[in-house]
Amino acid sequence: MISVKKVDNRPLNLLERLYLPEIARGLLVTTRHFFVNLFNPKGMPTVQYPEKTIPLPHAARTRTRHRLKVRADGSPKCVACFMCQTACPAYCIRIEAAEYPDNSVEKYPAVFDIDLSRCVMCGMCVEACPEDAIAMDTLEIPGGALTRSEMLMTREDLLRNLPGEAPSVLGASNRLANEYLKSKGEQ
Amino acid sequence: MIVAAAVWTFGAVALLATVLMIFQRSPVKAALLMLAALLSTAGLYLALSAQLLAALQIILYAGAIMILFVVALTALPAAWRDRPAPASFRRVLGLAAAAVILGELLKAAGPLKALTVDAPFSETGALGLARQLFGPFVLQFELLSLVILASIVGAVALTSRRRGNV
Amino acid sequence: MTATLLAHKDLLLFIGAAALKVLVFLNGVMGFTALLTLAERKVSALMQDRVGPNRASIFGLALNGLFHPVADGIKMLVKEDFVPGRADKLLFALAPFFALVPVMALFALIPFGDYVMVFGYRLDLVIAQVPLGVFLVLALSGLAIYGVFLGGWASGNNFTLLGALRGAAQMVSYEVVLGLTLVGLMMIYGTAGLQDLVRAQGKLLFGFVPAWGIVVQPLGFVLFLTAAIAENKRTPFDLVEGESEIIGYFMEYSSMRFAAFMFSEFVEIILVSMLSATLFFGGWQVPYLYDTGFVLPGGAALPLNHYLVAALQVASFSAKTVFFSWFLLVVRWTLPRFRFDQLMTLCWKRLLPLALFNILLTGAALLALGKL
Repeated sequence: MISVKKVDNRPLNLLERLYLPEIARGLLVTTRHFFVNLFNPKGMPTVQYPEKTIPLPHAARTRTRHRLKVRADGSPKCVACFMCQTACPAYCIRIEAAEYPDNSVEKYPAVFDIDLSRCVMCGMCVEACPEDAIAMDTLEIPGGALTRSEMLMTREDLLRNLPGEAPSVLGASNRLANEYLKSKGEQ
Repeated sequence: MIVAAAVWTFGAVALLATVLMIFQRSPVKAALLMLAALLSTAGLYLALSAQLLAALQIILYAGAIMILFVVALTALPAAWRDRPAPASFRRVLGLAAAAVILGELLKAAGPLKALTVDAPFSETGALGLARQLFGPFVLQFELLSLVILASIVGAVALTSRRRGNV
Repeated sequence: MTATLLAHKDLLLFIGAAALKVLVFLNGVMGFTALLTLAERKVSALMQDRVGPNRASIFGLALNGLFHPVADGIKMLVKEDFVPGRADKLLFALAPFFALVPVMALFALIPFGDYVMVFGYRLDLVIAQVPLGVFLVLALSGLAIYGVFLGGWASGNNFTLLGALRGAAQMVSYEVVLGLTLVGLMMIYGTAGLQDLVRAQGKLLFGFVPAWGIVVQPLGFVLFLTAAIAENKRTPFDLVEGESEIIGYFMEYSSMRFAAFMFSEFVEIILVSMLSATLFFGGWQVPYLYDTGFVLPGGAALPLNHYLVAALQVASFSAKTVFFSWFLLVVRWTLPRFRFDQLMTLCWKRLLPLALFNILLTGAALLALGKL
C-alpha cells in the first residue's frame, strides 16, 4: 500500500522567518538527545560489535559469512572445480586441489581460503557452485578484526554444517563417485 | 632601551620588506611583502604607544585592503604564470618614478628631523582622536562618510545593471 | 652581574611572570583543544544517538575514547607530507602558520582571572593587559584570513582557490559585523580593554542584577555569536570548507600542515567561547563575589580567602569557556548549512543593519539615561 504524506507547504509566519526561535527549537531537540544519552547510555541502540552481537532473524535472507558444506563421512562437499574462484569478482578465493588416493573421479580442496577483507559479499560463488557446496547462510557478519590474518578464513574455518542440518549425500559428482565406488566394490 | 630596540627592529623589517617587495616579480609574494611592511609599521606604532593607530592599521590595511589586493592579484593571469614575465623598459620607468618619489619624500622628511617628541606617551590616543573627529572636524568626517556612501551606491549600481541583462 | 640583575629586577620579574602565564595558559588551551577534537565527535555522537569513538586504547585501556586525540596526533605526524607539483612551495608552507599564529596570539589578550598576590607582588591573570584589547582582537582575527586565502591559492588548484575566495569574502564580510557588535559594549562600559570590560561587568544593576554584557546588550550578543561562528568558518557557515561535500581551501594539504588548519579551527572555537564569556558573560566574574568574598544583595556576606577568590574566578572563567565550547558544538551539529547567497544576504542585509541599529539604540538609551 502506498502511503501518501501530505506536506504542509504554507508560507512561514513571522516568528519562523525570524529564524532564531526555530533555531532554539532545533537546539532544544538536539540538546535533549544529548543529555538523555549522556545520562542513560544504555538506552542507545548501538551494539559494541564485534565484542557483542545480536542474533539476526533467521528469516533474514541476507548473505552472511561463507561456509563449506560437509558430507556424511566428514569430507568436504566441494570438489575443487574452481568455479567459485573464477566467478569471484574480488579474487578473494584461493583453492588448491588435491586428489583422493582411492577415488580418481573427484578432487577435493587441499586449501580453500577466503579472504574476508577482500570479499564483497556478492554471493557469486554460491551461484557458481555446481555442487551446492558453498553457502552464505551462517548469519554471522564478518569484519571487526584488527589484523588481516584474522580476516583470512581457511578450509577448517569454513567447513561446517549448520546445527540440525542433515549432511548431504546428494549431488551429481557425489552420486557418480558413489556409483563408481560401488562398481569398484562389486568387481 | 627596549622601546628603541623595537623601533629600530620594526623599522628595519619594514624597510627590508618594502625593498624586497619592489624587486619581487611574483605579484602575490609582493603583496605579502607589503603586508609584512604594513604589519611592521603597526609594530612601530605599538612601540611608540600609539595603540589605536596600530590596531586600525592592522584592521584596515592588513585585514581589509591587503586582502582585497591579494584576491584581485590572484585573479591576474600573471599570478598563474609559471615563470614571471621578463623585465621590460617599463621597469626602468618605474624605477625612475620611484626615485622621484623617494626624493620628494626625503625633502618632505627633512623638517621632521627638527621635531622632537615632547609630550609623554598618551594612553591610547583613542579619546583624543574621537574628540577631534566629532568636535572640530565633524563636518569633514561626515562628508567623508557621504563619499563612502556614494561609492557604495555606485558599486551596487554598476553590478546590478550587469545582472539585469542576464 | 648581580648588581645589573638587581637594577632590572622589575623587568626580569615582568618577563618571568609573562613567560609563566604564557606557559600555563597556552598549555591549558592546547590541552583543551586536543580534548575538543574528541568532544566534537563525542557530542555529535550523543546528539545523534550514537556512542562515538571509543576504540583507541593503550595496553587495552580505552577509557571511552580518551586516547583518540593522541592516536590522531600520531597519525597526522607519520602521514605523508604531500606538496602538489603546481603549488607555490614557499606560500604553501607558510599558509598554515598564517592560519594558526594570529589565533594563538589572541589568547594573550584574554583575561582568565583578576589578579593574585604572590610574595607581595601583584600578578595580573592576563598575559597582555592592553587598553585597546577589543581593537587588537578585531585586528588579529582579521589576519586569520590570510591563512585561508594563501592556503587555497598556493595549492595551485582551481577548486581550492574557489574555496579560498569564498573564505575571503565570508570572513571579510562578517568581520565588519563582528566589529560593529562590540561598539555597543564599549559605549556602555566606556572602555576597550578586555580586563576593564570584565571589571565593569562586576557591578550590579538595580542592586541585584550583575551588569553582564548579555543583560545590557542581548541583541549585541546574538549578533556577535553569529558573526563569530561565521568567522570561525563552522557550520552553518562552513561554505569555506564544507568538509562533507564542497571542496575547500585546504584540500591539497596533508599530514601536519592539514592538522595545523584543523587545529586552528578548534583553537578558534575556544577563542570564540572565551571572547563570548569575556565580553558578554562577565569573564571571570562570579555573581556577588568580590575581592573579600561573597556579598549578597540582601547584605549577607561570606568572607573568603584571597587565593580562594582567585581560584573561584579562574574556575568560573573555565566553566564559561567549556559551556560555550559545548554550545558551539551543539550549534554546529544542529543547523544545516546556508547557501552562499543566503550567507551574504544574512550578513549585509540582516546582521549589519541590526548591528547599526543596536549602536543607535545603545546611544539613544545612554543619552536618555544621561550617561553620555
